[in-house]
Amino acid sequence: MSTIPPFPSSDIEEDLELEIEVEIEEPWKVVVLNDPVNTMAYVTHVFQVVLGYDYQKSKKLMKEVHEQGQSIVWTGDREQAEHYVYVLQQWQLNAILCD
Amino acid sequence: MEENTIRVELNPFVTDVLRSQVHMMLDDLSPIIYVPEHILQEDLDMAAVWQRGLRESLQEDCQALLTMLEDDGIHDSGVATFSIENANQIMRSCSAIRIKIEETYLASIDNEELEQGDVDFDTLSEEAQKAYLTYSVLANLQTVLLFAINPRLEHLDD
Repeated sequence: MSTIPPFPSSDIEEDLELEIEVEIEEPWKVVVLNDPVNTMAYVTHVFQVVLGYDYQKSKKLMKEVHEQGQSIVWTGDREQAEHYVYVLQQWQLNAILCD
Repeated sequence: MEENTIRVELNPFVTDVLRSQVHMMLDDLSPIIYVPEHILQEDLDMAAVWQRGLRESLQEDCQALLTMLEDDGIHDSGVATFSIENANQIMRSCSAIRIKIEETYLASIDNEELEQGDVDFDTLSEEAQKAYLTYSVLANLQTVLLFAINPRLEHLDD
């Protein structure tokens, strides 16, 4: 009568252990800084047109810029963040990118 | 009046000042352009494209304003006519020139006074008075266009 050989578990298990490294990229932040020139209505309009926000959200972010000196107006992937910073500058807003 | 047209009446004296000031500002319009740090470090070609693109865009916007100011219609009737399509360009150019004027002539004025329009006009030099007049007219022009194309906006700056 044959016997079932023992299963060589430990070595195989070690081999099968996979090191999965997941690189989670922190979202990029589009920040708009306050300036003494652009009017509040204009800045609100720009947020609506460029970022696609509704009026209330645009107004809230504009107030943050005005009262706190800056506001994070968008977060997400790098490419889209670069696009927003570029277009906000086309509209003469003081926009920068932070990671 | 066509449905998609905005008409703004401008005083001839104001138009003359505006025209000469805008020309003067555009001759020396060299904005500080922000380029993200990682682009500057990783890809100088991309950084150059970024800067050139923004400069060209600014030139196009300002050209739209100049075209409006030099239009025969504004000479003859004092009325400037805008299409909805070029209103955004004009609004952007108003901001660009106001920023340049602020940096050049009005930097010594307190930001709050400037934002409130609470500037003592008589204490300014003649050159600065013309610049401030242009600064104020462009703000009003921008606001008129803004409310024409976005009527739901509130008068947040009053």
